[in-house]
Amino acid sequence: MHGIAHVSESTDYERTPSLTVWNTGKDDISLISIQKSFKEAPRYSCYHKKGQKKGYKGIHSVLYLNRSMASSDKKPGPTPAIGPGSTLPGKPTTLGSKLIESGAMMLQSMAPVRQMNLHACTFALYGHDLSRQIETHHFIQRINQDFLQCAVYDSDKPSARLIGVEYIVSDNIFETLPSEEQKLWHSHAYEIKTGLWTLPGMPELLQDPEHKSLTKTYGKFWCTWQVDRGDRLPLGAPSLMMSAQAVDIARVNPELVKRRDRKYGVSRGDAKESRVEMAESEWINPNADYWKQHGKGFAIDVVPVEMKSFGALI
Amino acid sequence: MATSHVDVPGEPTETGTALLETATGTIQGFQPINNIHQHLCAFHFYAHDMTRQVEAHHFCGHLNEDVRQCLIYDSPNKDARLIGIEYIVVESLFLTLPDDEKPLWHSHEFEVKGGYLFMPGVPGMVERQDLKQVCKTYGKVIHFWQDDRGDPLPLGIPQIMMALTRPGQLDENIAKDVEKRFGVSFEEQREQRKDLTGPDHGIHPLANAAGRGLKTELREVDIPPATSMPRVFV
Repeated sequence: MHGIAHVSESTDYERTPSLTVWNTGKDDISLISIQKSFKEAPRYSCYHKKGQKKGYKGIHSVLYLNRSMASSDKKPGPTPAIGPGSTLPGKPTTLGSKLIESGAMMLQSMAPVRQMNLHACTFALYGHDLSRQIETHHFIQRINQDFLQCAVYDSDKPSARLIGVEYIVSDNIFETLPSEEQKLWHSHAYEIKTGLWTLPGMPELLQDPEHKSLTKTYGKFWCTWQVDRGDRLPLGAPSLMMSAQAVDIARVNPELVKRRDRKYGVSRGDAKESRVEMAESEWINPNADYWKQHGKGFAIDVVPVEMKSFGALI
Repeated sequence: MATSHVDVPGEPTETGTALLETATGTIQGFQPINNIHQHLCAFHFYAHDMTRQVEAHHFCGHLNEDVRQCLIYDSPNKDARLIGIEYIVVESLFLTLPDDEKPLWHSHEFEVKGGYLFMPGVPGMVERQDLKQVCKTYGKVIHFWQDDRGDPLPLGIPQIMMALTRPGQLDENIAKDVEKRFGVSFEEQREQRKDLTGPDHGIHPLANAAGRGLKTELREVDIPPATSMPRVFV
């Protein structure tokens, strides 16, 4: 077990330099991280007691890992990777990279990606905190009548960030899942009937047949990038997401919905009317939307373990 | 082997549904997907179990020069399953990650220099232009579908994955199978990639799970009770 000795640490991570000394447990070696300013990434150095400097190549596994570090429901420690506006860090794509991509495009088949032929815009709630709600853009591929796989983004622009993956199954498939598995899934009937879920660019009537079949489905959505929290890079373990439901704490903020509807010219009246007629599943499995009946959401922790292996990892 | 997998349960797609989705495919916009320009093949293993190894087909796009995002499938074919996500960042951005985040990321130097990471269909010379950059990056991979154990559906919780970091880790049979199917030779690539270099500061000691294993666990959290005012419509 190694300790952490903080020689000095800034609470205002953005402005003041911070110096952290990590005690490696070997008397004569300390790992020091120095960050002179917010704009500069930390520099790591390994110092011998006698003041002799070495690069961090010379260090074996020097730090202990906290249990539940990077949990999906915990805010990460201070880092330039979170900030107001959650702007993406890094340089604009260079011409060189674009040329390589063009070359690749001509020579490679992007077959799996070409199979996505449905774009849906809806809202999702964090499973460990239903008050955090995000607009999502699902790019969907149907595998068969009972199963769809979706790449989920935070917008429908070329600059959209990939924020997770959702899988959708029919009620028939859902009923075959073990109950421990069912708890991770959410129902879709409410968000579809109320017009929260929409297919941008498609006239409402044309959306009907798709919605008829999706009303009875269940989804499992893992979010890998908490952009609404200000994360400039994808931090932490994935979060389990839930769907809007007909109860107060799971109602999507009307402002979010209005803004989305304006953007895509969705008329709430149209959506509700044509979808009211849809046969709603009379019964939604009580294991889905687990929080509703049980008052419990889920978070994911990442814990250090001894890896099952046939040799060292690093 | 990745050439065939257990079928996903369910009825074949109905004609009406298929027709509608052909229409949406032509009418709607797919800009985020159109940004995906590159196919990379590599190998991942579970961060808690190096013996479970997976052939991973990455379909990647640049968010900018320093950040890429990839959809991971189990094959490069039309019927491929979406099994995971990878994010790739340059060294300078990796260093800005909190120290309890860094272990979730892995270095790419070994698998690139070793020839194990490649772009199917792209000639070596062109490939190396990009691999020169990839060699210096760090990646974060999460898988949602454990198809290596034959799951017909994406069951369970997400899995953090790691990448090859030393010789002798990759299963011989998996390696030979991929080499045969894609007409590549990892050894040949190794020779050609000798001049590629890894991260400028060396591989960070916290990357690659800091040399240990990582496992994800599910935990229940309290949610405030739902009020007793049910609503049917918004």
